[in-house]
Formats: sequence, C-alpha cells, structure tokens
Amino acid sequence: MNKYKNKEVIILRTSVLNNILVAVVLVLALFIITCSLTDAQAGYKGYKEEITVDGTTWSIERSTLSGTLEIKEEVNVTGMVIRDSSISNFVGICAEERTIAQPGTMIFSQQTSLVGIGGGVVITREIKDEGENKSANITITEVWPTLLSTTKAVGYSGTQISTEERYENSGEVISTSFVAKELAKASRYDTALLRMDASAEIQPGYVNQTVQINKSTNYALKSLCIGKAYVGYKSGEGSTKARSSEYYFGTSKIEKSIKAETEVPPAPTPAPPTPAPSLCPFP
Amino acid sequence: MKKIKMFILFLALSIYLFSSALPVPSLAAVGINSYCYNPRSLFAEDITTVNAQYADYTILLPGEIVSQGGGAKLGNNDSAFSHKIVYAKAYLGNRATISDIGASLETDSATYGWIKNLDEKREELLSMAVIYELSDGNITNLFWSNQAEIAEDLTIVGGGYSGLAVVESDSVFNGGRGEIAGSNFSHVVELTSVGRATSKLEGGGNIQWQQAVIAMTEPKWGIYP
Repeated sequence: MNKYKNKEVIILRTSVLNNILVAVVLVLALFIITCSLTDAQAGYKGYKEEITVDGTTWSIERSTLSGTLEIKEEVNVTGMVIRDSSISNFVGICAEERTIAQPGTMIFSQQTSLVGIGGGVVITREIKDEGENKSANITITEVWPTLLSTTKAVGYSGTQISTEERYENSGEVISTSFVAKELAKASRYDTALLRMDASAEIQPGYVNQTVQINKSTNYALKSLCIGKAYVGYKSGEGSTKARSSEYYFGTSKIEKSIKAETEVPPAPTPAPPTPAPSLCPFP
Repeated sequence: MKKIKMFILFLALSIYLFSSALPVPSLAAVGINSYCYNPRSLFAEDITTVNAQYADYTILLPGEIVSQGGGAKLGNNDSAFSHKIVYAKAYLGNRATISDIGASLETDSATYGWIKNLDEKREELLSMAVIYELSDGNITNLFWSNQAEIAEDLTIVGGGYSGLAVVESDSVFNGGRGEIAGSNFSHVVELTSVGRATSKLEGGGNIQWQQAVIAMTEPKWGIYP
C-alpha cells in the first residue's frame, strides 16, 4: 500500500520564559513579528483517493491552501528562550524549528514567506472487474504552485543553546541541529513546488505507481559553533536516493549550500471522458 | 460565513463516512473511495463493482468541481455495483445544499449501465441514471436521493423487462416495461419517501405490464445560524 498523507497545520508559537531563579530577565530591544494569513481559512482545498482491488489498496491524500503567510521578526533576549514553530504539509512542503536556550544572550531574526497559488487537479480513474481479471488505473495531474522562502539568523552566548531546523519538500529533507555554548548561525531555505503528476496501476497483490514532481530547492548555511553541530540531507527513496549526515564536535565553522531540482515534462492533456453507456430511449 | 461553510462540509463528510459504512455488494472486489473539496464544495463518492467496469474523470478547481463517468456490466456472471455520492455546496448568503444520492444493483443475468454527472456550472447539477434489461433471472435495485428511496425486486422466467432510473438531488424516478409469454414473473416496487408504499405484481401467461414511480422530496437546505 502506498500512501501520501498531506494535511495542513500551521502552528506558530514563540514564547520567551523568564529566568525564574535569577528573577532578572531583560528582554531588550526589538521584537517585531508580523504574521498575516491572507484569505487562508477560505482557501483550503484537497482530495483523497483510495482504490481497492481484491484487498490490495492504493491511496493518496493531498491538500493545500490558497493564500500567503508572512512572518518577520527580530528578537533580542537576555534570559531563557523556548521557540517551537512549524509549517506542515502544504502539498508536501514543511518547515520546523525548535530552540531551547538556557540563560544567556540571544539575538534572533527571521523572515518567512509562504505562498500558495490556486490551481487545479484532474483525476481520471478506471476500474475493471471481470472474473479473475481485476484491475484499476488512476492518473492525477495536480497544479498547486507553492513557494516557501525563509531566512533565519541566530547568535547566542551563554550556558547552552539547542536549536534544530528541518525543511522538507516532497520527501527531500534538510535538517540541522546545534547544541552549543557559543553559536552564530545564518541559514536560508527557498523551495518551490509547481506540479505533480502521479499514476498508479493496481492489481491484486501488485501496485505500480509513478510520482513525478516539478520542484526546486536551495539551501545555504553558515555557522560558527562551539559545541556539537549536525547537518543532514536526504532525498529519494528505495534504491535511488541521496543522503548525508555530518556531525562536528568542538569548534566548527560550516559553510554549506545544497541545490536540488527535478523537472517533469509538461502536463499531458487530460484523458477525454470515457464514453458512458448510452441511455436508450425509455421503452 | 466560514463557520457555516466548515459546518456544511463537516456535515457532508459525516454523511459520506456514515454512508460508506453501509453494506456493499457482498462480492465486491474492486472499488473507489474518494472525496475532494474546495472552499465552497465537497464531493465524495464510494463505488464498488463486481463483474463490471467503470471509468470517470474529476476536475477540481478553486471554485468549481466537475465529474463525469459511467460504467457497465462485464461478462455473464453474477454482477453488482453500488455508487454513492454526497455533494455539499455553500452559496453566498448562507444558503447551503447537501445531496446524498446513489444507486445499487445486484443481478444474476441482467445487463446494465449507469452514468453520473456533476457540473457546478449547470443547473442540472448532480444526477445519476441507470438502465437495465432482464430476460430471465432476478435483479434487485435500490435508488435513493436524500430522504426518498425506491427499491425494486424483479424476477422473470420466460420474458423480458427494460427499466430506467434517474436520480437527482431532489427526486428519484424509476420506470420500465415488461412482457412475458407463457411463464411467470414477480415485480415488487417499494417507495420510501415521506411515507411508505409498496406495489407488488405477480403473474403468468401472456402479459405486458408497465410501472413508473417518482419520489420527490424537498431538498435538504436552509438558513443556518
């Protein structure tokens, strides 16, 4: 069984906890955050298809949101920080960040834009059951252009900071993790998904599926860390995949960029409607 | 307005999920279970076939859903299909409609075909039509639309019957004509709408008969708080 599950959840939480023991917390300078979700609630759309052939099931579930999400912030803290934010599964695009900073001084800035453009989906389905000959075919052409661009910078000096980032576009994952006493880090992630073509042939005990996604990703990281650093990348599945995991301990300076692009041929013309049985005149 | 839309879509999805749990043809082996939605509409289907084929297409756009398709019997063995549709649409001004329509058929020898059509740009928004012909044997049909339902059970030996059903959001029509020569038949039609009515006809020898019934209901729509 093959399953794609895409649900959209936006959780945006930013909290600053005071250092209770010391009772001295200085939250300085600037905290600007603007967050607007234009026409978001009204723009949900999605579909789910589940086809069963003699106990063999294939399914797909996709959803998105037409609209824009913009986040811009600058934070300057002396004290403790807990941050937890995520953008989940806008047609397979995700971004997550978790940061816990022990007493210290932290400067953080972020600029994020998420744009979902309303498009269309064409689904054709065909099922056949004739004695032992059972089969189903489905094709999906989905044009839901979605773009995510996010830039983040953090500077910290203090007891310890633990910060993680994770970005995903349709199975292509970039993640970083730092646990440090001193940290300066800047990262930028830009990704776009333009179109997905999927097809599947289902027979008892057999599924042959093809998923082609037109997408591109650019990621750049610069960091200076005293502590532990991790950078990971993963793309593809099965025997066709690329992945890397890098760990650095001590004092590290990392400059890294990742570019990935997949392009599929132009969308085929949707199959014409299957001729329906003619309705003979009422007798 | 957004809450109303969400309520309508939730209600429609609940109806769809509930109706999906209803019995399907016992021999069901190939089926489709699906739904799609945009900010104003939800369209859900549950299709099962036994010794039949079916094909369709669906176009999902931000402000429009179009879906058309049809199926027919394959081979000479026992055959069945069940096709359930739940469709909900929220209009400007808080008006909303929910349509719950469908057809199921089970037969040992009849030939049949059916089509479905959803086009939000046209007045005849959602409809299904089924035709069937029976020479010798049995056919059991069920056609429904919101709160109206027509059930038909027909057995013929040595004759023939041609039937048609048209299901729309607010009405169900079922009719046909039969003829036997020197043998027998049994034809039961049950209508469940506001009340319940049963028509039963049995006979033998040389006989022709016709039946037609239409069930109309108020569409399930209204002003929601």
